Amino acid sequence: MLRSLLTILVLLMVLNQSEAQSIRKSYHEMSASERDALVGAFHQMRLGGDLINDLAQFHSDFFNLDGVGDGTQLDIHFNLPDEPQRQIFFPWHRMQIFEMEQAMQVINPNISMPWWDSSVDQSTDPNSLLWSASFMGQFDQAWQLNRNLGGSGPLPTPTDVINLQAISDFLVYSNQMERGPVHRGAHVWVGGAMPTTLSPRDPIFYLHHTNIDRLWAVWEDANPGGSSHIITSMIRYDGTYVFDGVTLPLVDPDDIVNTRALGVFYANNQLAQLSDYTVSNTHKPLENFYYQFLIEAGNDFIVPSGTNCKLESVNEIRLIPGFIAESGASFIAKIDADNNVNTAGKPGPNTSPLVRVERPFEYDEAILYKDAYDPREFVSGNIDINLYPNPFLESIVVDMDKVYSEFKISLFDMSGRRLLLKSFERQKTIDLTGLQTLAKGIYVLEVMVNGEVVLRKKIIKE
Amino acid sequence: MFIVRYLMIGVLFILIVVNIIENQDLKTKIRLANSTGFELSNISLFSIKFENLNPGDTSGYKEINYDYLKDDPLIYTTINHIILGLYVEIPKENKKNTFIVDSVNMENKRLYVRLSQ
Repeated sequence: MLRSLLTILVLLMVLNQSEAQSIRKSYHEMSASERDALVGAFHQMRLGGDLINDLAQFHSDFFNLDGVGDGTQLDIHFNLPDEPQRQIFFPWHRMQIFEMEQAMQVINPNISMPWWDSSVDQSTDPNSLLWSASFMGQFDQAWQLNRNLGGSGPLPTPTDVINLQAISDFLVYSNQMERGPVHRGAHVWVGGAMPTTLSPRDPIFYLHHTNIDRLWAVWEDANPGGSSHIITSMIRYDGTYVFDGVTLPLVDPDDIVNTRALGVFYANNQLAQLSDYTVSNTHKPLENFYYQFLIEAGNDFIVPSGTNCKLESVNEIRLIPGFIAESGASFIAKIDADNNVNTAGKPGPNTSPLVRVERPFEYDEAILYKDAYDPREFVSGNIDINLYPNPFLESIVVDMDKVYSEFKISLFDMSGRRLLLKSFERQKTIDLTGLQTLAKGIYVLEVMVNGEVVLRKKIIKE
Repeated sequence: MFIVRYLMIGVLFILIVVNIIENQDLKTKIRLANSTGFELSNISLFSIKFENLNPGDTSGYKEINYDYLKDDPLIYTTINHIILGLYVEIPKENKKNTFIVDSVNMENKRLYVRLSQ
């Protein structure tokens, strides 16, 4: 009885879906509220028809059928190099992520599937952001995944990614991606369900494959028109598969080579650039692009007459040349100042799934600093600050020339990602400890006094 | 002199045979052991087909020249008509590798496989 009610509820949610496209980001760029919303959505996907298990079971049933059956059946994995006419590795998983994301956006239209870049983010620490009990860590026990992080094989290196992305032939690229460490590594490294054909049972699968999808998007940008497929529809997305009473559409892989076909953009380093896109409301009556950081729309970003589009940021929206909202279009650019838009009402017997409740939107206050990142070294002539040791191993001392009533210290990696932000009051000498977990390399340490940068210096972790 | 010549030829022959045997042992080989209580059928390991294995059975060794761009780094099998698959460790080169299917969780459709040399 309960299962039937839940099925009806999810079906109603699907029928009532009204908005959302997506700006995808690293999970590092999600606010705490966004992470909570994503975790909650994963749990809710288990209700009703259980999209988590439906997609996992489908993925397993059609993973690779070369060893069974009559050999003519279509499958998802390992069709290259011998069966290029069947290969759908990239587009099938792109649709899988999109199907999950769309279902989640019914619960909360601001959700987008984040990515986990396993080539640079390799901690097994249960207190790390990724594996903490408040984020992906909670699913291990709750869903009996039996992960064994790092126990069964290495993750890819940044060099693996660089070498892979340098391949220019699409079929070679696709095959090496699928079989090589960039894709395979995370499946084996996580353990539990991830190395099995039922890997989509683990939510980390979606974060991993969103990163694979992002890399394909980056590759396609660098090799325009390089991706092509012989097959013209895909299992599950062939116009016949029914999930929870809804028939999924037929999708030609070549039609989704560009993520814009699905209204999907990838943001990075606190910047989402929306360009070369025409709002069509193909997938949702209101196309909603939400991001905590800067949204920049232009360069042929068009909202035609009769279409509906909303850009929403906690921080900043810029409409640059090439942005056109035609007469008759409905366009909203909104700063999420009241911080209450990132939560949706929990579905229940008497509530609409899109009714929102008031809840503070927690965002990284660091985004408010006007000088968030600049890799150039800078030393103020007015303040004498010593940093030592440099290179450092576990800690570094910041010795100011006198006691200051207030100052802030930030640490950035070379991609501009802020790794640390600490405020100090009435101190002269600070020992920044706990740096032993940083990877070897170059970082930028920045000291701000009264809102002004007084020192920006490169430091080396050994 | 005549005997010495035959002795040298004999030693040379023995060295050649030993070398051939050693070279055979240097090839990478894989086999599969079924320690579960289920019959494993439709078995494919690194894209090499194996005969069905009854509980307790061990297959013969098969040579493999593993090519990561062609050979699937997985074991596939069906148990009671249910397809199961798992990424497995890459076989050690120039060794005899035994992949032991220790157990199966049919509820979670999960194989537990370890590699032994």
